Amino acid sequence: MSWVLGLSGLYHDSAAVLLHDGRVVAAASEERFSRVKHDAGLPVQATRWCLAHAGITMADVTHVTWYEKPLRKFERMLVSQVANFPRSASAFRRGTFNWLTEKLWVKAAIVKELGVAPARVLFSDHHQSHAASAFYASPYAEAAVLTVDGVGEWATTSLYRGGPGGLELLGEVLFPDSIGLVYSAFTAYLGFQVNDGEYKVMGMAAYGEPRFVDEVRKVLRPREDGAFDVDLSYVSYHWSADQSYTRRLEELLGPARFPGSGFDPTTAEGKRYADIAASVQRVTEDALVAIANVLHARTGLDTLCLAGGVALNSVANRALLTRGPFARLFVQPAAGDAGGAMGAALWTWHEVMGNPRTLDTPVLPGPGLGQAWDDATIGALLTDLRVKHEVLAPDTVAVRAAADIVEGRVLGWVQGRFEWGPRALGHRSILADPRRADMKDRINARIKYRELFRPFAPSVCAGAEGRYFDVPPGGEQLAEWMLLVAPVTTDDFPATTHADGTARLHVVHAAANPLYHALLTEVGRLTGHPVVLNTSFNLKGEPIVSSPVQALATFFRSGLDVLYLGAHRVEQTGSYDG
Amino acid sequence: MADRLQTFLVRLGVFGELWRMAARSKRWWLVPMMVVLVLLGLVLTGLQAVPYLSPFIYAVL
Amino acid sequence: MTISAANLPIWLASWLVWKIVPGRAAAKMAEFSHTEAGSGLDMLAAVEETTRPELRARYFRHALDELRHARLFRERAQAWSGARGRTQAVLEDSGFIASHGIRTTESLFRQLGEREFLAFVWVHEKRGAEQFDIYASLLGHDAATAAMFAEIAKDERFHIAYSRAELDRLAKAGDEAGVRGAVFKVRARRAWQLWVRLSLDFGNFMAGIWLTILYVVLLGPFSVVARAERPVGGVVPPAPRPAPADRAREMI
Repeated sequence: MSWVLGLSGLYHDSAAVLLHDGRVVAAASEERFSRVKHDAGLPVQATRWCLAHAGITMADVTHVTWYEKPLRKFERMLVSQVANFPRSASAFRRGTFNWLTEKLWVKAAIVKELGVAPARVLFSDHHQSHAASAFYASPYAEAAVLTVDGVGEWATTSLYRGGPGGLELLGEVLFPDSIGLVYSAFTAYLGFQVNDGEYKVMGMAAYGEPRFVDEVRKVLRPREDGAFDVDLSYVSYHWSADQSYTRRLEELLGPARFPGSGFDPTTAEGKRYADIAASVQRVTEDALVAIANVLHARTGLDTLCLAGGVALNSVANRALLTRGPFARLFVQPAAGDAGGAMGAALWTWHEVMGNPRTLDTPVLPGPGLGQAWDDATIGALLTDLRVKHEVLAPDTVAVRAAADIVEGRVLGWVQGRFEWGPRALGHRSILADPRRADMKDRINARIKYRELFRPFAPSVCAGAEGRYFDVPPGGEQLAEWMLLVAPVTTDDFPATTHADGTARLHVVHAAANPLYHALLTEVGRLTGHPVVLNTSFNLKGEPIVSSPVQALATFFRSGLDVLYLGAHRVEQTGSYDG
Repeated sequence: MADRLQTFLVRLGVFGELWRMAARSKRWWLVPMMVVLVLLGLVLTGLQAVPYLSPFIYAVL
Repeated sequence: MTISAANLPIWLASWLVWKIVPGRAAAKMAEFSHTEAGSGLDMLAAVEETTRPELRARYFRHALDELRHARLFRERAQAWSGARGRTQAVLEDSGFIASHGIRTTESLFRQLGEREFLAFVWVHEKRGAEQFDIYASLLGHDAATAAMFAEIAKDERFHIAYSRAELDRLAKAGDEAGVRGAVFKVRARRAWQLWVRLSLDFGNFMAGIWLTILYVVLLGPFSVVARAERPVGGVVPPAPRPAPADRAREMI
């Protein structure tokens, strides 16, 4: 009986993941507990919850593994700043202070704040953690593994062969040549926040054409050997803490978009931004396909496991499937740094402790790996807060919710354990009828207060997706975690079909989420289409809700119509008057 | 008290690892700056434990 | 609102902030937005952690108020600054609450316990009400802002009232000394935290100076060596490394 804990943090997206005999029993991002979006502090609360959930103490955990090598990262940072003396001055002053007071001492922090014996603390390698999170969570005995992100210690892109002997590192692309950092530089150029706005660039790209591919290729340059490099005169992420692109980029492509200024693709300026976004997306896809070809030639395998922040680019995942050399793709839902915690734990279990893989049962049973609250607790809460509510028989929840959706109401849906990863997959979701054309604007304007050009995603019952979406073979697993974009072959769902006729698809299997599947089936019975609009249950700038209290606080601050908390139904009007 | 000592010893371990890292990557020129910065880091972390004393300590520094 | 000896320093400082330094007002609104949001989150945590069912409703109402105030301050900040520059940076800084010590990894309720938590609420709401009174008087010319402060003041009156009522209830039930002690501790901690905050800020400032010196003296001389390193492009074969079990303990 062995417990292994994996941790990530101090940069973006802290998380804790607990394995029991190699199976994930608890996984959560710290932000769900601390309520700080992309919380990067040491994942203290997530760890506490994982142990409490399992009913164990830290003394029962064999190893606690940190997801990267902090000193090698320190080395890269110093070398880069010394090489860019003196313009790296302000980055040095700001960044180094944090290193000297926090990042260098992560082992001591783990020992002191989490109560771990020093001998049990291990360190994985950043890209290795990403690779392990994809490969060891996959159902494949053998696969090629590609990790692409901003930067780990030195590597920005790593190529592995995964097999019975473990993960074999075949090669890496080193800092400052980085697909992730270039994409982030363009994210900033297009007026969004780095490490938060990359999705928005993806959304914007659908409104444009890749007219600027040649210009973008001057920045992210393809190489003869299939890899890529970066012309550093256009970017400044390697020496500046607050600017990731240079004036030379603006001379190349025109003025940058001012943050917070609106986006209207019908204006000339708006079209230019959309075209640049589309060009960046295209060049990124080309670079990924090219490096995938290199990996395919080296391994000869036809399955690809993908991880790292860039794996969250679901449009690029489609390009990899349709244009790339691999027959199938696997990505786990927390492909970013939070997933590194899971990878660190899995790497420890299989490669440090030498345990074999058991491929008959899935490592990830479903997306719901976080904390759950039972109906008794929820009922007591609603009563204490004097919130009028209806208690439903558990087997009628799906039916009632489906009826609400079909009648045009927008639902908050809190069921079971909250999701692992940044997407809501039917445990902490906002649900609505995708057939209504006004639904998208209604939700954007009244509930999520997001930029109006951003699309919403559909959830569909497994087995029915072929009727509405063109899912390429080999992409089924991606669609399960909403990591794939597919063309929509019908006009029935205006609220979830993006400007370019695609949707970021979520296919729901009964085994992974029985209640949500039942809701979709019921919607299918009522409308003929088992599809709903699904977006994350949170307000702009806030992490996805986790507890019933947070759900209620968010519900009463939003324009949602109905809230389903377990088997309890709360209406917006008339249920709470303070 | 034993805990504080253990944590301090864990922190000291960083020096040894930095040395091995420089040896592996052959970047010996990094050693002087890493040593000084890590020492400063130790001082700053110590000060953070007693932040109310920092004005007095900095007056000395 | 009368200016007394107690609130004169705040009045002066606020006057300086609002009137003399223009863009500062919007940034200050943004900071208030974060403080209120942090308060709201603490109150939500209290809803989950209190063992007294009758207080859960109060804490929840209080939480919704604080979160609404956060939104109001955010809107004011954006209205005054046009969503640019320093103010936008403060608004978007999701780490503000943690880096300014507004919240830590342990909820306020769990740190203080119910009695001291109520004392904390009472003392801070009173202080906040006085502070906002001053700001409202300085900015009364703007109708929307005046309305915002009026709404906030109304909510604060409720917060002050219920927390005081609870403390009085506890005192009457025989714990008068405990209640007085809790209030004293909260007030003392405020003063202490102000000193710690100033010390930390001073420490950070001095550290910044030291780091700049070190940058020039320690890093500068080696810049030639660092630049001479030939960056290897493309896919690089990995350097040989020990087996997983052997290299797992290292941080390098």
